[in-house]
Amino acid sequence: MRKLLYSLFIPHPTNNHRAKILHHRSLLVLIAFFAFGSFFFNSSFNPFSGKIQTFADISLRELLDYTNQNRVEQGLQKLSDNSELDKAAQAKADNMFAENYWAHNSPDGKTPWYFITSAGYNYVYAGENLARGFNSAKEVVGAWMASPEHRANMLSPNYRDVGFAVEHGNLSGEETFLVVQEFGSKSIIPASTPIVDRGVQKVLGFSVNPKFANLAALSMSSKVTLSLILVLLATFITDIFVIRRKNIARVVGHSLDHFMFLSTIALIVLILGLGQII
Amino acid sequence: MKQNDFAYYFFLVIILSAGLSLIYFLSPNKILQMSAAIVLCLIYGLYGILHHYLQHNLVRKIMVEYILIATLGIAISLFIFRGGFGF
Repeated sequence: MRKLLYSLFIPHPTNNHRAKILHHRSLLVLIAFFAFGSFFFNSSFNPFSGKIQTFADISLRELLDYTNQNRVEQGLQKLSDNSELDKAAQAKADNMFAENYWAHNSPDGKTPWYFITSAGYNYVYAGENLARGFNSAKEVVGAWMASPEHRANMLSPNYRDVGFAVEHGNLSGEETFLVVQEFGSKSIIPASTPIVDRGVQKVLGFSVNPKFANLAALSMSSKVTLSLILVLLATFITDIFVIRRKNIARVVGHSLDHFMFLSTIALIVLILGLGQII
Repeated sequence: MKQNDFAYYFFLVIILSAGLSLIYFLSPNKILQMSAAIVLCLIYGLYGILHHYLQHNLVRKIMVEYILIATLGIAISLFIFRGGFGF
């Protein structure tokens, strides 16, 4: 076992002074692994159709389950799925696609509370979280939990109800999935009473730097990929030092080039693997 | 490091940084991000091969190595772009 690991990762005479994981055959195996993963696990997807993320698997039930799972872990009451908040979330998602915006307030000034009250939900507390560009409910909820403002919404003891919408459409030329989460607690005060007189708390999920707030929510596939890249990077670094120390002449490409290139690929994985939340 | 190597690495850093910045700023348009990632991988492969050609030490083994590393970059990008294994 030790010999195998040595041969895989350390350059020495038995592997022709090149770690076996960097041999052409090993690289072909890695390419085959990723190609197989992309083309067989999401076979319904055509990369040249221009429709991306149609393979996203975000179910409303899972969004509710993961939300409540986090609340229960913090000793909080589970939220009930509310049909009026579902309707409000759906109206908000439809409105974002119709008016082509990605924000809590629409260009013509519609706030989240407009959609909530229009759906017939007479709230005393309300909040909204938004997400786009994620592939699973777990990633979405994980991103919200990793952002302090969204987490505050998810774990607020003031809410009793929640509603979700997941809508696919074209936003600013990009095919994407939007996820809307509306929180609320019902007021016993009649809806006709002005909101300002009810002492309402209205919370919007907003992160100062939303692009980096959800690193913790990277999918398992992204984490596996990053781990493999890190192994390759470590092997290239070892290769550079061992070969330089032993002053061995070989006919191979520059390990430093490949190290720099794969580092860039690791950063690309991070960028591509991230959705957005506001 | 020889002067030729310094220039080579200097431009490689510029190419990789420019590509990475472009991919970052194209967010959230994943189609353009993916296209930029593929182009960056192709440029890397060609740039490495060209460098060895100009150094007069390009052999088939080195050429295949750059092609494989660039293809690995494309395969990884495609894998992530398409949602990986779906979890």
